[in-house]
Amino acid sequence: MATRGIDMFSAIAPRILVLAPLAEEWSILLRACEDAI
Amino acid sequence: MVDPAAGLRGRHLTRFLPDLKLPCAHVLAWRMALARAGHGKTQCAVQAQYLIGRFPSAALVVCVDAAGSLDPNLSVGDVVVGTETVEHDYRLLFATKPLPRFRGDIAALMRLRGASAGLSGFRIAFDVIASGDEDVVSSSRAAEIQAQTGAVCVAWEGSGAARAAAFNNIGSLEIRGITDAANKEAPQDFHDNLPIAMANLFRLLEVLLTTESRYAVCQTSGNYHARAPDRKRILSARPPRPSVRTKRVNSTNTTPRMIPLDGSV
Repeated sequence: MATRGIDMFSAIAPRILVLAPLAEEWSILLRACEDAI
Repeated sequence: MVDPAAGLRGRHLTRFLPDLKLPCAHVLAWRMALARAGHGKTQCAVQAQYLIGRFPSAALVVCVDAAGSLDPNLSVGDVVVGTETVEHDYRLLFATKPLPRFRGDIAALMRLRGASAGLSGFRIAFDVIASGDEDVVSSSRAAEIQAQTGAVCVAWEGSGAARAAAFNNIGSLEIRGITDAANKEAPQDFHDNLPIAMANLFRLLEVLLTTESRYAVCQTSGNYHARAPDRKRILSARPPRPSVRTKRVNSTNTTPRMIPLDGSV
């Protein structure tokens, strides 16, 4: 079960880190993500 | 502003990660963490390193934000994908060395070039981006940086993110939306044009994230037929061979080692 748990986590763990330096830009992108998915 | 304490959002596919030292949302559908990385190269590098340490699964760091144009062919709302990020404020005076340059992740660039062809309404340039902790607000300074770096736009944090990624042997990419022309109107233009620049940038980012998540699925599922064309394109995009004539040397390492025929190492 433990192995299965690790596999399940690795299947959804972030593969891409998107860095938006400032709060305003980060908020704009976050809202856009939520609208898109 | 978004309240990071608000919990699940966006059809429950985006979740905030509360145990981190900085605001960060995990978009499950894209296997993407969207983090606020801080202002300036150093802060961005520190926070990128922290995130890479927290997410060993990370394979690509993407630095996104606004930029000032150094190229008259670029307009407000256009988006630049960095084939290279050049650190323009690395002022070495005791020795003569080229400016630090960080190549964009070749595989991601190749996939993005192909996948972004269908986008319209703004120009997408694949070119060099200058990076440095400086607001560029005069045409003369903009021209100086352009001449120094060959970049088509200038921004702040890209080289910090790229350094952190390179330190961890993972790929990086910088994507910037144009808000201004790096001249005296830049401070006002930046605020006025940030929404359109970020909206266009997101359209391209969405293409990248969708493409990358499909690619990751192909890798995970072992669908070699699906990923074979990508690999073929990546191999064909390798940099040219060195100008010095070389010969192959057998060694225990599986990667062929090349040594110059003239004996220099």
